Amino acid sequence: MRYYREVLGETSFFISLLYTVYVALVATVVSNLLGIVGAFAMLGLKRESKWPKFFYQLPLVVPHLVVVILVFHLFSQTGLFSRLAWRLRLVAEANDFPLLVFDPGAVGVILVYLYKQIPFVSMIVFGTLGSISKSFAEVAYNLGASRAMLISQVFLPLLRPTILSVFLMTFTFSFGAFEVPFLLGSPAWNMLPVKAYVYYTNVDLTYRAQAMVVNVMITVISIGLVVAYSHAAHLRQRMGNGGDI
Amino acid sequence: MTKGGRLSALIFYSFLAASVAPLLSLLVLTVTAAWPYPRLSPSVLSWRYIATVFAPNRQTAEALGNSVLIAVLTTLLTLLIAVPAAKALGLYRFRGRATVKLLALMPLMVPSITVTMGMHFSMIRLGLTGSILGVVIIHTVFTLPYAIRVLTNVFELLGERHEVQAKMLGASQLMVLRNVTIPLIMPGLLSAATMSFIVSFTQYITTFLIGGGRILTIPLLFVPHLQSGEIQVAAVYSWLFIMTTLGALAITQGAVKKFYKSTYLLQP
Repeated sequence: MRYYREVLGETSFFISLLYTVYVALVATVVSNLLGIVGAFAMLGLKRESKWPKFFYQLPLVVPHLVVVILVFHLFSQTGLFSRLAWRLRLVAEANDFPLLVFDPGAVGVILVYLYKQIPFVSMIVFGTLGSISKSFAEVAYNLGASRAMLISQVFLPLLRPTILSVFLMTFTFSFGAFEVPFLLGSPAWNMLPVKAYVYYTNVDLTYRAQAMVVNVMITVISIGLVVAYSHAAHLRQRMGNGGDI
Repeated sequence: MTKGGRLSALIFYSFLAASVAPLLSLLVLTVTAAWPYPRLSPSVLSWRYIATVFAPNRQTAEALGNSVLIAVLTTLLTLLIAVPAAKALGLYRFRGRATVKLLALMPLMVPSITVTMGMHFSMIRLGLTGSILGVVIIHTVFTLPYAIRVLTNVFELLGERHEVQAKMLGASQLMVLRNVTIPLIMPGLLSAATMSFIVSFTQYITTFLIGGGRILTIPLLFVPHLQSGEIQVAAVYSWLFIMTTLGALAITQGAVKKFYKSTYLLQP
């Protein structure tokens, strides 16, 4: 237990934990909101078009490592957006552009998750929407509901279990992923998985015990989320795919 | 509805552009030789970086070979374990079934770095570090949950009746497996295989830790370039990555289509 006391006694562990929660939470909330908007947009498309949908899902098969390059290429201080800002006379030189990768605010890391997760959330929510859509919408329309009412009173309540389980899935991933913060994160601010790795690869092998303590903490939190996830899945099943109540 | 339709299209297509445009920009990067700061387009184009990546001394061929070999072996091992496991989970009711089902999903939820560090020690004891087999095993840990999940659903939908019927008509175990079970689960099998291939193909830290730097794969070649800011080389590897993934997807999709055309079986 000595190592637990040692690791958990350090304030740096809690700072790391809070920082990890901050990054994962921002990434998850934003990607879920935009993903849901995307799903409704897909539902509102007039024609069922196959190719646009294929390209919309493209980020799902683009590996995280590649997305890291995309974000670096677009958002670094000499990236495309910085050049665009220069063209628009918003910045005078590259150093004026805000630091968006390797930054303490972890904007770069979050952007990677957004790119990957928005289409993911959209596809899953769209799947559920597809199974509840037609008849409910027609009934609500006949009863004089507006578009906004249809979304807020009919669709969102029926979607709640799906959204909850997707939220937990994306959160767990952003919480525990290693490569992205390792490559794009700030050198001064370590997310928990990176902290574990830093301990683990220390030349002094006795630090492996500390690494394992961090790992156990990550695992405990993740398992807690899995249990929550299975509850959400259970809830969804009880609601019978949202269709026949 | 038309106003709503137009708004939907606007939102959808701007999201679509945000997904695709960066990838195209990355494609431009692969043929860029010079792109000084304030310019919005490259000043010098050349095939140099593509040529560099595929130059014989770059070990790209070795890494690609290893990556594909590991991904194929991982897929086979995954299916070998996942099919019986999914069948048991999907068809039979036994004590602790829900728990096993949840446990099978665990590697999806517990971060890969944690699982890998945990298994590293056992791997060292078994002498599996630095070997292809060790890397295949660690990748399988992360592909199994996807495969078991997909195949469990398939078995739940199919039920056991086809197999029982075949057995009643006098088919041997092997015949049932070859002529009934495998054809029936083929679509699920193919999608599990694609998932496994892609997941294995894109692993970085697991290969790095268990392979001990001795097993070179594409992600391992690619990350140092990312860290050193050699973004063009990294862009070429990225496209190699994407093309291989899409290739694997296309082959599976083709196989599914061909299979459905040739089969006379009832579709589940």
